[in-house]
Amino acid sequence: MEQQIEALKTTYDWGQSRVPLTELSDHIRASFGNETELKNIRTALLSVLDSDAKYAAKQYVCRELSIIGNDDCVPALAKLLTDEKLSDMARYALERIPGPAVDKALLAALPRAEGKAKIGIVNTLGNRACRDAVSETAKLARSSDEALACAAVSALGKMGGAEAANALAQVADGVSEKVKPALYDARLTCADRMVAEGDRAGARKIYQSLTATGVPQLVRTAALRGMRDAVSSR
Amino acid sequence: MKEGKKIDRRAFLKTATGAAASVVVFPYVVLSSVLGAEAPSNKITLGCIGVGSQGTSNMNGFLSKSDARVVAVCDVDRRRLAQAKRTVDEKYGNRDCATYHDFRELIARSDIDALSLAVPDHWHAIPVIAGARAGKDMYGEKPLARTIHEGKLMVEAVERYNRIWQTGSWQRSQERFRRACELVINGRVGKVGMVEVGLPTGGGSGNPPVSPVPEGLDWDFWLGPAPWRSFIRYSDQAPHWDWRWIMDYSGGQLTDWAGHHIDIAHWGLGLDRTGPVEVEGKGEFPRDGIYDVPTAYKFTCKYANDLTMVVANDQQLPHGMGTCWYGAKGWIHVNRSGLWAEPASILDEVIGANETHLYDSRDHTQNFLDCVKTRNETVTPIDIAYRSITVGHLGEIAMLLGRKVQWDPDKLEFVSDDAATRLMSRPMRGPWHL
Repeated sequence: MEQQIEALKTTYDWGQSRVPLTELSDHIRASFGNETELKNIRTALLSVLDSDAKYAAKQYVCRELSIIGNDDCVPALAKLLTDEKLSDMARYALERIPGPAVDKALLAALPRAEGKAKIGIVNTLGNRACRDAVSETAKLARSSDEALACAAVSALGKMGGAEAANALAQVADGVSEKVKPALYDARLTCADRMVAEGDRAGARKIYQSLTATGVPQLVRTAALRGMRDAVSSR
Repeated sequence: MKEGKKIDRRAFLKTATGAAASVVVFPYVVLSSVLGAEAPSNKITLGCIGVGSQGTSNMNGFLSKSDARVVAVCDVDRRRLAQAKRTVDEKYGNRDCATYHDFRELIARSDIDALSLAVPDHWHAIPVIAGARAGKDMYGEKPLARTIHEGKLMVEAVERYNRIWQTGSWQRSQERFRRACELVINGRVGKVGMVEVGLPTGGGSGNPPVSPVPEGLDWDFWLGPAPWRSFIRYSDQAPHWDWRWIMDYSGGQLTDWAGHHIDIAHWGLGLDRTGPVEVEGKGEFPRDGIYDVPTAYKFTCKYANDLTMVVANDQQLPHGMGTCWYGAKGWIHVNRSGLWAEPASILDEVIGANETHLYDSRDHTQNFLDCVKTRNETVTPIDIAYRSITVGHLGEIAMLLGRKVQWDPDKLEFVSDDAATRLMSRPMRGPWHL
């Protein structure tokens, strides 16, 4: 493994032979179930992130950590979340690593991140349905940056729960036309999640509000279908 | 509706949706007479997103239909966009076809009823979900999605907004494949214990160097949700077509063809809306070169009803390409070249009036247009396409992990398998999300 790690640190880049990467991936696959060796591999991979390795090599490392990464990898990956170039790949790994340590790291990075990196973090918090992030995400739903606002409302929908539902209801009148389709969809997603979690009363409130005059017909119909399905799933 | 009263088709669809809001029941059929004659307002207006080779082929299919009108095309490659506009304008004898670089602008047009989608696999989910939210009906290419999770969200979006969806799994609109499936589903080979699915064999490549991005191509947009990388001219037409051999964008021949022959296997078995419970197999992944999808592959799927499906590249199966069902009384094999059976007399069997008759579509494009009008289900609805490609994804994941995986086809999740679960979705590059 040392030879392959060294190649990653010093020479590997786009357009070059990826045999060292293949060999390392073979070794990782053969080590599934062997926690001692996996720990060694994680340590070695993290050392590449901390080196002057090229972007292509660090991208490979993040891909592998997305499969075998654990809490031990979070601090090193979290450092990259605000790095304009590497933030996406840090999230690529972190989004797939289960556990609250990742959520905490993402939340901590959120205020410091900017531009696409910030949007990416919001997306990942949503995909992880991180309810601890509802409050911070709700603030971003009112952003004048429409891409960020869209990401925030979508994330709130995926997070689900009463707090996210309230946050989405509160921003409903304040978003731009471009954000509205994402907002409606997020509210429907949030309601669907509430049904799945047994909060039919909460879901019904959302569905009902989406059948009001002024809401696009497409959404009103979807809300009515949601209400029907909520009743039939009892 | 009074007999003989003509209404604008778009207004009708809006009215129909309004009625549905009251009773959540959708219209069953619309008489063709309500469509009127050739007035553009009575045609289904289409926007074509992705106008490369397959996208152009699909677009030409719509251009040939009297009840459709292509009004806009979209591509991130200016060369292809210009060619598509020329094709549409020549067909209609005007210069009206609008062009878009960003699919979101096309989808935002309220005068477009339906979308034709033919973008690389890693781009499938985002425009479909956006299209559903905007109320568009959609004809989208197979494989349905790049990941299991993306497919699930696509199904949810299309169903949530009650959109008509046709998958480009056009074999279901071919008489030969329907005939094979009707023979199987009606027991002409007896109880099926095994089905073999033969798909094409892949190939490798070298390590071409980083190259300048071709003039007219928006490389960052083309990559979209996929991890960023420098442009590499891996073939003469790169990035087009041969993206299929790179795992960030596709699963290779396996996933490209899963939406055809695995789809047909399910159809004949009556397993359109379920999936395997266990998958195990081996793939040969190129050890070097930019192409990294499996070139040779063979995996076994066990279904709950004592059925085994073997999916492999054609060189590893006795019948090669296509779908072959083995039952207690014989076998049936179908592919694009023919239909065979053992005993051959099976092929002479008549399907009785009281037996199972499968959805009879003779024209895949027309079937979609007809369903847009009637609001009936197409021959390849999205949830069925999802089940077909999921088998491909499960095989891909089992091969990547190098071990057996257990799948719950009802819950759509792996059984106590952290690594496999991680591979169900792919984190997207910012700002893209579903």
